[in-house]
Amino acid sequence: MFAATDISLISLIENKQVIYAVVDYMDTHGTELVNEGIYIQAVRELIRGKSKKTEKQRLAKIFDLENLVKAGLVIEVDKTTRNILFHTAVIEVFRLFDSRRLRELTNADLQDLSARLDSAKNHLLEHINGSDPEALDEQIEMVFLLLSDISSKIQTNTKSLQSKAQRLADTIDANSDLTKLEEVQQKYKTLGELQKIYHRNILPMLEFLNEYEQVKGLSPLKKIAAIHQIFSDFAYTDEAYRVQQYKISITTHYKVIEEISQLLERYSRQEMLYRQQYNAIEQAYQAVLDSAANLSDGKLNTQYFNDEDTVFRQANAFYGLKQYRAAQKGLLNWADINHRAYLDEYLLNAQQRKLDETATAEAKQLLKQFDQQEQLRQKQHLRLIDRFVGNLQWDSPVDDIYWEIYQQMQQQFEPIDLADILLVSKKLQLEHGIKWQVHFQLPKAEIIHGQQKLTYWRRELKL
Amino acid sequence: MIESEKSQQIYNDLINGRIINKYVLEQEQLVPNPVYTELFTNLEHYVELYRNIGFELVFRDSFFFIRDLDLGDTYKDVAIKIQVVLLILSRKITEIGFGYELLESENAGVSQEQMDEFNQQEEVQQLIAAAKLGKKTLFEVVRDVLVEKRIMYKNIHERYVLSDAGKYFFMQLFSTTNEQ
Repeated sequence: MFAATDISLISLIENKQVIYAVVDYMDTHGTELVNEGIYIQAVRELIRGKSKKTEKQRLAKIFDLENLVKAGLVIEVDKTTRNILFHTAVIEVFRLFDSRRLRELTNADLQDLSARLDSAKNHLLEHINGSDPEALDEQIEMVFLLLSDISSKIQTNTKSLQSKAQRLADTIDANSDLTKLEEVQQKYKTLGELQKIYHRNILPMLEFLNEYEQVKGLSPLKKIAAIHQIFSDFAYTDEAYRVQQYKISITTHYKVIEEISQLLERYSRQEMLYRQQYNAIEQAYQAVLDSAANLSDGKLNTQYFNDEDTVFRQANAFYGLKQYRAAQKGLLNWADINHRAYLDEYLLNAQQRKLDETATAEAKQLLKQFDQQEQLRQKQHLRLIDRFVGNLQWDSPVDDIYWEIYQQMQQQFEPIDLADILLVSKKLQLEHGIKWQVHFQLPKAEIIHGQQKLTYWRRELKL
Repeated sequence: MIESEKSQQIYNDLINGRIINKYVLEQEQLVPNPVYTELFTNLEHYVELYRNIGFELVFRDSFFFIRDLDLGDTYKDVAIKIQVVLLILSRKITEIGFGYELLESENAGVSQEQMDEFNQQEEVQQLIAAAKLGKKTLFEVVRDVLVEKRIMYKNIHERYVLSDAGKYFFMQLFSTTNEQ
C-alpha cells in the first residue's frame, strides 16, 4: 500500500520522535546519511508504544522505507551500505520544529549565499536594460527568491544560535561543583562545544552581517546594496524599496549575533585558559619527570634532584625559605614591654654610647654649678630676711601686721615675693615672740603685688 | 604604629619557616590577614628589624617569608620540594579530568582520598623520594610541607586548597609558559 506524500508527512509529523532520532544521528556523526538500523529501531519503539493493533499496522506501513521512497520523503536506500538518504526538505522541516536541532549556517553556507548574491547581481545587471523583458522578470523573481531565502535562513540561524548558546551556557552554570568529576567533565565538554560554535558559526555570521567587513570583493550586504542601486538607477522604485527592506531585515540580526558573540567570548576565554593551564602543568611536570629520569645512573645510593637543574628555577619565588625544625616549635615568651622602644633605644644607644657619656659628664658639671649658685642665693636672701625682721619696730598698735610688713618690704626688697611676708611673720612669732590676734572675718584681707596675690585672715598687733 | 602582639606572632611564624599570606581562612571564607597588614603597613621597620637579626624579609606580591642573609648551599631545597609536590598534585588532578581551579577555589580543593590514590603510582613515590622527602606519602608531604609552610590550607570541607603563596607559584608558571 502506498500512502500519499501528504499523509505520510503528516504521520511523520505526528510522530516526530522517529525523525528526531534520525536528525540526532546525523548531527552526532556529521553525515547526511542515516544507518538503517537506527531508523528501524526508532520506528519499532514508536509502534511498541501504540496500543491499538490497527494503529500499529497503519504506522508500520507508512514508516516502511519503500513507502517513504515512493512518497518522495526518502531519496534512496543504499542496499549495500544500508544507509538512508532523507530528502533535505524533510529534515529541515523537522529541525524547525525543535530549535535545538536546527543546523547552524557554517562559513561554507554563508559563502555560498554570498556567491549566489554575486551571481544574482550580475545576471540582473545583464538584463536590467529591458532588452529581454521575460528574462528580466525571471531575474527579478530570482533575486527576490534569493533575498527571501537569505532572510529566512539568517533569521532561523540567529534563533537557533541564540537558543543553543543559552542552553549550553546554562549547562555550564549548572555544572558548577568543581569537586564532582562528572560535572567538571560535562562543563569542559560544553565549553568545547561553545568554542566550536563561536568559531564555526558566530564569527562567520558576524562577518556576513557586517557591511563594512574587509573581504575579497564586496561584503554580502554591499552586494544587496548594489542590487538596490541597480533597481534605483533604472527607476524600478518598488523593487528597490523591497530590496532595501530585505537588507534592513537581514541587518537587524547583527546586534543579536553580536550579543551571542559576547556571551560566548567569555566562555571561549575560559576554555582557552583551561587548555593553557592544562598544557603548562603537563609541560612543567614532564620536565621534572625528565629531571628525575636523568638521576638513574645504576648506583645504589639514593639519587636526589640536582638543584642546579634549570627546571627548578620555577620555584625561585621560594628560594631561601627556611627548613622547618621541630626544635623551634616552642613558643617564645615575650615580656610584656614595648619591644620597639627598647630595640630603638638599644640601636641608638649602642652606636652613640661614647657621645652620651661625654655629654652626660658635661651636663652633670653644669648642674652642679647651678645648684651651688642657687644655694648661695638662697642663703643671701635668708640673711636679708633676718636683717629685715631684726629691724622691724612698731610704736603703735598695728591693725594689719601683714600689710605693715608688706609696706616696709617695699622699701627694702626688690623684687618682692609675697611668700616672704609669711616667712617674716613666722620668724616674728618663733624667734621674737611677737603675738597678734587673728580676726576670722569675711571678707579675707588681700595684698596684690603685680601678678602675686596673698589672701589671709587679718592679724592685729596690740602692744 | 607597631603592634607588639602582632610583631610577636609574625616572628613566631617567620622564624619557623612559615609564610604569611595576604588572606587567611576564617569560618568559611578568606579574609584579609591582620598580621600581613601589620607587615605591609610597617614594611620599612620590619625589613630593618629582621636585617638586624640576620634575615632578609622577602615580599612577593601577596605573601612574606624570611631567609638568611647568607643563603648557604641548601637554599633551594625547600623550594624544590614545594615545586615538585605542587606539580604532582596539579598534574594528577588534571590527568583524571579536573581543572586547575580544583586547587585554586576555596570551596573546592583536593581530598586526602584523592591524594592516597595518586600515591599508588610509582612515579609519584619516585618524585617524592628524589625531592628528599623520604618515604612519605603524598598526603603526608602535603600536610607536613605545604600546609605547614602555608603554601596550602585545609578548608571546611577537609580538602586542601592553594593559599596566596601556592597560587603565586602557578601564576608564575602560567605566565612563563604563555610567554614561550
